[in-house]
Amino acid sequence: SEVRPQDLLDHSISIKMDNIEISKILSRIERLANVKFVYSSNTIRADRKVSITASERKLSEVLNMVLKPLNISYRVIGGQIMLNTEDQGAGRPKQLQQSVSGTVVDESGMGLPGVSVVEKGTQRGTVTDTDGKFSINVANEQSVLVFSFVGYSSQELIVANKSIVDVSLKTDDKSLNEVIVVGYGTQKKADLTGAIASISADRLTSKAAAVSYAEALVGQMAGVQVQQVNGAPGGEGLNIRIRGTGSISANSSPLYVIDGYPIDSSAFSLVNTSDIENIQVLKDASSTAIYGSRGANGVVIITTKKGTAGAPRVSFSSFYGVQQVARKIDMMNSREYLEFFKDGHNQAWLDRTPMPGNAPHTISDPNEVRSKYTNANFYIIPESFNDPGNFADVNWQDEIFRTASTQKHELSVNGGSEKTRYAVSGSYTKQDGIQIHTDFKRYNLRTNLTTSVSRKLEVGVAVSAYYAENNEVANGKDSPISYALYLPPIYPLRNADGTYGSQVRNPEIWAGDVSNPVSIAENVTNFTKKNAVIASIYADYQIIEGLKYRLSLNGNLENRRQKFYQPSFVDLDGSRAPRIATARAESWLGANWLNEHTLTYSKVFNKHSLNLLAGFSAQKSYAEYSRVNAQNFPNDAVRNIKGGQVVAGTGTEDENSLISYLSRLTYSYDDKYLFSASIRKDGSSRFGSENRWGTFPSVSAGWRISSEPFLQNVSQISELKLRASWGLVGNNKIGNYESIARTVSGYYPLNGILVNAVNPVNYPNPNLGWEKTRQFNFGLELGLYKERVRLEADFYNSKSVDLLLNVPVPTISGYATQLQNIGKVENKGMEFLVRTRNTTGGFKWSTDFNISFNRNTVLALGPDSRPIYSGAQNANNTFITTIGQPIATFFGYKYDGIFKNQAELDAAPHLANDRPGDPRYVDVNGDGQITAADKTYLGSNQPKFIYGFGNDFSYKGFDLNLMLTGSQGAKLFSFFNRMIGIYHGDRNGLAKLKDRWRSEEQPGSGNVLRANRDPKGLQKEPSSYWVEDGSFLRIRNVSLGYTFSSDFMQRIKVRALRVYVTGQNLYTFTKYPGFDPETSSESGLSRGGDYLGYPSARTVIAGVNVSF
Amino acid sequence: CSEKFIDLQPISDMNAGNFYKTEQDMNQAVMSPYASLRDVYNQLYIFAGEVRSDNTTFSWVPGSSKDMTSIDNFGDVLLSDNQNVLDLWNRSYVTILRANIVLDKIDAVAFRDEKLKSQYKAEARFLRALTYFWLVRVYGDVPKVDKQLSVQEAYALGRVPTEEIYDFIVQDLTFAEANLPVTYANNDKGRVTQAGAKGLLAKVYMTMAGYPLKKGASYYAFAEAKALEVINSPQYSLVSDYKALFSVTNKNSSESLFEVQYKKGGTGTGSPWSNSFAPRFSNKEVVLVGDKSGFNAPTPSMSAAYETGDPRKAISMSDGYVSDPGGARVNEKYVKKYYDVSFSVSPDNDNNWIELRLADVYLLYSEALVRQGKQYQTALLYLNKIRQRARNTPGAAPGTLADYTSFATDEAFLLAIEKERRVELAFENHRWFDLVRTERAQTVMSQEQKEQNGFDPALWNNNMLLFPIPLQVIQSNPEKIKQNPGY
Repeated sequence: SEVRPQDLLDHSISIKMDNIEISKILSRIERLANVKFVYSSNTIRADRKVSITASERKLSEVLNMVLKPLNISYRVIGGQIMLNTEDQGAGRPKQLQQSVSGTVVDESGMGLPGVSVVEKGTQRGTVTDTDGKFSINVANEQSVLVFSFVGYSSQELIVANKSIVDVSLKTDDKSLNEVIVVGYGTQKKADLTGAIASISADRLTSKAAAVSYAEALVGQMAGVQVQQVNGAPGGEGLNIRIRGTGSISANSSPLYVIDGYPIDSSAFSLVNTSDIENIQVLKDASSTAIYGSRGANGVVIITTKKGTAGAPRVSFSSFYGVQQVARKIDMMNSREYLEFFKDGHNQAWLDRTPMPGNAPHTISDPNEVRSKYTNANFYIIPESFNDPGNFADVNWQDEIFRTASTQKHELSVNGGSEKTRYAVSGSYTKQDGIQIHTDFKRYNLRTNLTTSVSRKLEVGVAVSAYYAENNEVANGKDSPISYALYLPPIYPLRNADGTYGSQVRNPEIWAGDVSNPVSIAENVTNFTKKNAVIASIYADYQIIEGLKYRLSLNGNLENRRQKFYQPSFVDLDGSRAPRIATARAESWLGANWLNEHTLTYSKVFNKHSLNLLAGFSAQKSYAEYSRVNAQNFPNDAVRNIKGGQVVAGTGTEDENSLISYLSRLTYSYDDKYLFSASIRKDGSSRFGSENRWGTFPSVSAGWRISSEPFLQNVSQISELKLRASWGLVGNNKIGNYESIARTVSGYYPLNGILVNAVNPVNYPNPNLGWEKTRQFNFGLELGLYKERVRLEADFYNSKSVDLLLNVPVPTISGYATQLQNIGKVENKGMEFLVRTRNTTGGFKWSTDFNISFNRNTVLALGPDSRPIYSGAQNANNTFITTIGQPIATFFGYKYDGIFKNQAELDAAPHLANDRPGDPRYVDVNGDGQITAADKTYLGSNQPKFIYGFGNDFSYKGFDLNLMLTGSQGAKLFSFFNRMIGIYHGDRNGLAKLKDRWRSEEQPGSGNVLRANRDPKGLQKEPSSYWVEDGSFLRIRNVSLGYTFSSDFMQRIKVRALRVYVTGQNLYTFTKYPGFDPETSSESGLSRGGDYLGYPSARTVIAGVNVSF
Repeated sequence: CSEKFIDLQPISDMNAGNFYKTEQDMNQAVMSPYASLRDVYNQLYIFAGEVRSDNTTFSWVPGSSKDMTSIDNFGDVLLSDNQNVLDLWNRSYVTILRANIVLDKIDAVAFRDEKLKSQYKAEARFLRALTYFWLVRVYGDVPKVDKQLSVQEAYALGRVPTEEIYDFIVQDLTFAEANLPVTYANNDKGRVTQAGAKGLLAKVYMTMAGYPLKKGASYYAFAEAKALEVINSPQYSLVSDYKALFSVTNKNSSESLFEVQYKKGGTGTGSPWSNSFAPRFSNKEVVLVGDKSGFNAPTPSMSAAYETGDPRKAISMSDGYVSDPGGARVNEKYVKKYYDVSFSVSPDNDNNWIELRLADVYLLYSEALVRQGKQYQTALLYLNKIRQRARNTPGAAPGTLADYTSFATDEAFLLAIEKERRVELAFENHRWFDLVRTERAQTVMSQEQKEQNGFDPALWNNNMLLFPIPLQVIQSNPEKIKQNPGY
């Protein structure tokens, strides 16, 4: 039974009120007639006082009595009554040009410069000058002027017959009325009972200049750790952790929801940064429980820009900038390296036990003696090494890094009528990498259309597509970037014969296995093309007053193709060309669709406000991968598969599906007592037949104390809210068929013909189920002095149980691991956010500060609480995940300085082969000797706290933004450092190796081991010698902009023009000796192991935004 | 409907629940433990059988880890977290699992031919026995797994005494011997035959007779009997040309009792040895294309072990190569036995790995007789047959490798057999285990390591005869799995 507008207006009421503000009268009518008025207080001026007396009159008549005299019209839309000033000008020709001028001031009476003044519904507009003065021509007396300025509430005024209009803008306390996107709906910020962080559009555009997500997100939200782990062009190398790491082996990245569409892949590649309207991060379990089995790692909700009614607004934005590596690593030069090399080989020679009958070794023993031993390369010092003049002095980092350009250009059109709104945008991004032969290009197109088919039905469609291509260079242990550090500076970039100089190529000074980084970067092709489409269509239908049905269909298609070619003439992996040229072509296809049905019901009666949600959704993903490998290239002329012979290939397919029922209730009483509860039931194909369905409930409550009578008179407090929540959420990020015993085809030749062998793949586990996280959250929000100071604090405790873990099982079973639900991890923490508006006059300054503390502890593991050891290339068992410690704690010997002399050596427990200059380790178990039992915990990559500190200044059209971010207490295991210097002795090392121990007389800094080509002790073993403090404070963003004045704008006929200069990642204060304390190339259970990711860049850009 | 929507089956893999139902399925299941032999023979068994011995070493590889050099050098402690030590264990148990799957599943499958069913069982048991023979010689006591294990069962199993493992091996091989065909039709060539099982059994008995079980004369008699059965099998004879034995055109020859089958062609079934044995910076003289790893390099004592003019040396190894056309000679030794001239893509060659061949059985037979102090002339005859084949191989210097006519002592006879085994079977993974079972390891290795690395013979310890139990194996079940002494 649907309520028709006429029924609503026919409702009879009795009312008597004398000289009362119209807003109060309307409130009374709302209660009496059980209706809801919607209006803008700026338009209606609800503080005007009127009188009304009516007895058993129809609502329509009452409204006419009250509103008509005030020139206010009304109409019923969707069960609500919308009020507006009557447009008496409609139909009449616009004849008169009326000139209006005036001054816009802030609350303190100071003139406000840069305020936008626009005649409503037209393109006529101006901005106030430095004194806040403006002047504008409008159509007629009915014209409405809209005054708007960032940080202030917009105000609308009817011109009437005035020629001078003075306006006072109030600072915006809209942070409370701000609408926050929550799962499957929106809520007023004031009504929130969960912990949700949000970044709005203006913050995204003004601070980030939309270069990359990292700039947009880092340091902006409490409790959200955004690490730029890879600085490669394109800016997609982000690692986001919301409130720590809850999972041990399943993926810990959050769920991304783009305009209501939960997607499996990372949103960073799917959505163009500048198409984003806002980002909200659901942090606590009560907010994410509505996403059930995917909510455990938090949810990032991205809302893209929609069209707004009005004349077409054309915007063009463009920036151009340069990037450089933010920091280079200080390495030894040619002369220093040669000394180090000789020292290291002499030390190894002195350590070597002489052959029977030989005299004790001295450093003056000639090569003829040394070469008689096996591994003579450890001892022989080439003759030429005695004269540095024989060698080049190349800084390899200078050879592989460059100053690179970055640019982006974007055109968008946005507009529409009351019924149909549209937004269309296209952009082009091109970024050269700071490493040679890396680049990124992206073309983006997006359209968004919504239309009201009837008063009850709205439909919308959004399609966004991109095409991108990029050239990559490998990073990590064996890559140009590592080789640029490993490779001694003594080799020439190119040899006389044209080949690239390196250890591999120059055997006369043969000392190791490092090839030339420039050659690899220049000649190995690693080219990727990607394209994707994400499309959504929805229909909203109002069944009856307050009850709405929504159907949405969403699809996402992603394609990626990678072409790899390694020419025959490139030295690689320590082996000299000519090598076998290899080519590889890989392609990925991912398809995903979602069908979602929701019903929402909202009802407001008296002081009760109720919102109900029920929904059903089905989602399915399909992925396909294929690869072809070719070899046997006759030459390097044709560099794709066809140029050689196909030698191998594979193709795989897999899919997963999820079916869900969800429901939520939110209820508030008198805007004071807030309550919310939700439940979701998920069924997923990924889990064992015995455990396929999971139920995820949550409850939360809030109390807006500031609305209580006893706080009404405390004028300092504008907002005070307490909230508490509990929720249960899941994590389903595992492989698609892990619970099923699978077999795979292999081959065995019989009589020269391959026959099939069917091999087991995995240990099945039919009981496999969800990882579950239970989280309590307690929050406080406090607004002081009319929201000039705002404080938000959250405290949480979350326990993840039944962790999905590839549990190492006894390998006598024939399997290494079994995926089980096991163990328990706790994350508990605090988050604080402070926003202050420090000055509000002509010079405006506001500050944002947030800080988050998280402590991660493993509480239980496996059936026998066995620790999980993990490692990385050439670094087995460097990490331990064990009870009482954070996930992925570094594990090894505890370094305690070096033995400066024999006396120190004799005084402490040491290994038999140790000599002065070797490291001293702590005898942790105190048994008087150094054994594997002395390995201990050496810290982890979990920071003690992370923080962001932003300041916004503006003065007369200028705006300045300064953003600092930091992290304190995280440690890094510097694998790359271990791979150079001491690890091989032949490789170049950090400049600090100059301060090494050389002899008892020259002990150096006392903290650098002696050089040694063949260390016999535990030098290569994981120890705290390689663990570094990764704390940092970064000048993340400094941005200076200028918005041009009205005179100028009118002359060039533009609506708005802003120019700006932005510097990003300008400087990092840190003790960490690597490129960047955030870019480490290891993750998961090896998190914080630094094998050198693509270093982050320092970027300076200049840009312009124009709209017409 | 919703249940069906979320009940998805793997697309690119098979669901094991729907497999192991037919004769054809079981044939593919039997191939599975054969296929995993490649994972151990490619490299790991070579480390344990050759590199550990005085035959070969690692020519130094830049950046080569202690994981390799500590297997070679007795002066370095072989650490229990050595990756190779772990891989050898884990991959061997993969083969055992695959064999056990066959044995667990096969009885429920209807076969038209019961003999075929028995054959499949016998093949699985042979492969399981072969793998245990490796495990028990490398690690000593190991867990005995005779079926697929649940996780709980896997935790419950500890190491069982070496002798029990040997008994298990003998049972498997006895069953295999009784149920394997003498020959196969052409398209099944490469599967293990009855003689393969007998030959391995002879070798197992020889090993049981020696160190560490030292079961003595009766087991030498068992070995002798089994060896003789193989020798008398009309299907088998020595290949007249030693070189042809290793040719890719002569795979599964008349001398071959069991070979691990390889096939090149980009299917992941090719063999890697010619590249992995080639010196690091060698050129086309050594291998035509591909990366060179430089491991399993013959030692000076190996090079010197060949009698002057013995053609087997040039066929098996080289003392060096010419660095570039017209360049200097580089004295880096390398193994040549597994070299497929026609290969074009590395490391993807056609060579099979010959695990067991008749020449080995001849020498075992000869040794078994000497150790029992009987049939002196027969023992001499079979030793000389090996020398005779060698000297009739093209490339032999005239007058070389003359027949032995007599030995002053049995000791001398046994040393002659040991030396003959070393050169005849060089780089075929037998040397280390020969030294261990004959208790010659200390004498031979101490000397060799002293010359090579300045090893102090006083540091010798018989614990070095076994590898450590991999650290991760102990960590995953510390209550049940204890370390070998000395590690």
